[in-house]
Amino acid sequence: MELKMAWMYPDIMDLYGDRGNVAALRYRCRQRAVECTVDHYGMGDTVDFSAYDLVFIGGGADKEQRLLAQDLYRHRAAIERALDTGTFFLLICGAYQLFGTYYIDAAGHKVNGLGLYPYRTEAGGNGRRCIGNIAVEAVLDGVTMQVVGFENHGGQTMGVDHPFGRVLHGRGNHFGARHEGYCDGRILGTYMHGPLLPKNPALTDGIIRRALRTRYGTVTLPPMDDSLEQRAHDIMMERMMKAKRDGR
Amino acid sequence: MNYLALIVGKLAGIFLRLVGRSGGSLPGKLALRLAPHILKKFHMPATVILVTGTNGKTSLANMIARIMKESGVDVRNNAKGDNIAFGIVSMLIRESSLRFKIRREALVIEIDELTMANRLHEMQVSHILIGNFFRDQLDRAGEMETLIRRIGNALQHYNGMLILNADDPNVYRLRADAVQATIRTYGAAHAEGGVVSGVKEGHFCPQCESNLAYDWVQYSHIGSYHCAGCTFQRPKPDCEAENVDAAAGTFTMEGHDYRVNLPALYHIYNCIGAYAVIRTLEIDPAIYARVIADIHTAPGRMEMIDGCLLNLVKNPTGANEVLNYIRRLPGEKVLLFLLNDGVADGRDVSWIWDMALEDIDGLSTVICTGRRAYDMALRFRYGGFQGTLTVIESMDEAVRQLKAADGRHFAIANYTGLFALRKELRHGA
Repeated sequence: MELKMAWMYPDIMDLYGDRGNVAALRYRCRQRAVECTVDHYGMGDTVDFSAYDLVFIGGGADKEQRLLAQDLYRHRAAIERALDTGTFFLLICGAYQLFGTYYIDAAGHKVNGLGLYPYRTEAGGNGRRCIGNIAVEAVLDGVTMQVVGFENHGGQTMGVDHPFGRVLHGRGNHFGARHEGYCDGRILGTYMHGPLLPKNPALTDGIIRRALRTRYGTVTLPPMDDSLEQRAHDIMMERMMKAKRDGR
Repeated sequence: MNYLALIVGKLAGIFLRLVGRSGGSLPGKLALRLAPHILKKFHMPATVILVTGTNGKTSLANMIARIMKESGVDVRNNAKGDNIAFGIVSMLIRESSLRFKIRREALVIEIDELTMANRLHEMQVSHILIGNFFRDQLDRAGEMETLIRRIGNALQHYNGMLILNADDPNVYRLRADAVQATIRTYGAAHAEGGVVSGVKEGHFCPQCESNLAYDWVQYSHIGSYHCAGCTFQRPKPDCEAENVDAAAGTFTMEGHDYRVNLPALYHIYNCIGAYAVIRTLEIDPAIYARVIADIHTAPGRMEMIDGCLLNLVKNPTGANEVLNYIRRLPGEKVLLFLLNDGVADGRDVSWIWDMALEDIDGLSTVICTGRRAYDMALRFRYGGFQGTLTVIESMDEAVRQLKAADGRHFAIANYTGLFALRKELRHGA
């Protein structure tokens, strides 16, 4: 079995250690004898998105994101085709925003998104940002899991009809939101980084299974020793639940 | 109210010194609460040098102050790194007469980047040195671009000497904002010794947003750059070090050879920055040479304790420089890494993924400790580390295991863990 992954803009959209997500996917594949190939693509490259099981795009700063949006528009039709043929997209932060209708950044620049999804993002008032540890309860392909990470975004994302998770601690899509991210089974867009996947092995496995499903049907991933990963996850989960109990 | 604030600050300082405390920030905190704009009131001496930038500002400010001191200048500096408004006002209160006159010939002030952006207009300053901008504590400082723009705005009305690291495009670009300042630049010709971490921040031209190309990279995004779309490029620096050998700690400046006792490229850049400052001050380069050959580093900066080399790291660039140094040493190596996530450390630990910790020859054992020890362990695991990887939640026990291990010992900690770790390393030494 083979998982083919395209990693878009690895040099530029890598603000919060997003490379860790790719490392976690690769590591957990290899432990299960799933061959994992990762192709890197930069600005100006030609990409056959439909040839991949999984496409990953990380987060960037406002300026990088604005410049990248131009490049991403070129790929709109190809991305749409790939979504229709079952390629799964994992999108962090800025990439998540760019799949929606538009993004207005802190300097007031309006950046049009790909418009593949109806949600939209605007920088919050007074430069306030959602910053801090975050935990959500999410369901991916029928599996319920608790996911931990860190959020740091000024953008307030509205109009989300299929959130990724229910917020247990932290902010989520916007101040006052009880939900985080977007997941409709074709994309997973989220503000959670940290990076997201190394500390969330259940989610990583869920993404691997989802990405492999189009070509291989339902796949069973054998258990592996991930006590370090679980402990890293549990410590943050416990800390956040304690902070919540203490009213912080 | 300003006068009352000064008195209260002075009394607080006297009291703190009586009880044996340093009084680094409390007097300023009290005074600023009573008089938020007290900074404006001080009559500064003719020479006031602000030193800012992400990495190295403490070392650089201490170095400049020491060179001036040894040249006979009556100078004071905020030596302990109290670099936000509280600390700076505390120092000014201590050095001020009751009429707000600073009773020194010169001040060297290490200042946090954000504090400089906010407070520069309140201070009379003769020199500003800006060393570098690296990705640092995004949860606290915000995006780097926003910070640089705010500093650019603050520099628009500044009319003193502005000393810029020409090899950092994000520093050099500020010359365009500082239209009234006198600009001096410093930098280094292409140095010997490979680069491990490549360009992180300098992807796009700050003037026209085209791609920025590099002829060479010294470390991170420090190097020789030119824009593909406009005229923005590294200038020939006014003070340019040549024959830079990072491993030997030597360089040539204006025909003279210099040697530093800490062989690391980032440290040599600090030394070049200090040179650019003293060239504007009629200071004898022989005194400069003597000082840089005999720099005692600050606690936790290349500090040897009981056979263990201890380093503070706060961001990926600083960490990479340390790891680079470790990489160059021969033999079997054991590393203890203490990762915390206090407010001063940055609550977000994702920066550890920007460290280049892959492929360290001879590294046989890694011991992770601190509040985010497991995150650190995962970073090593996913970085392909094949040796013995352990997490020991108790720092004391982690240090015991380090001391018991065979090989050359290294310890790295971020801010809030440093002093406890230092103490533990000393324990029984």
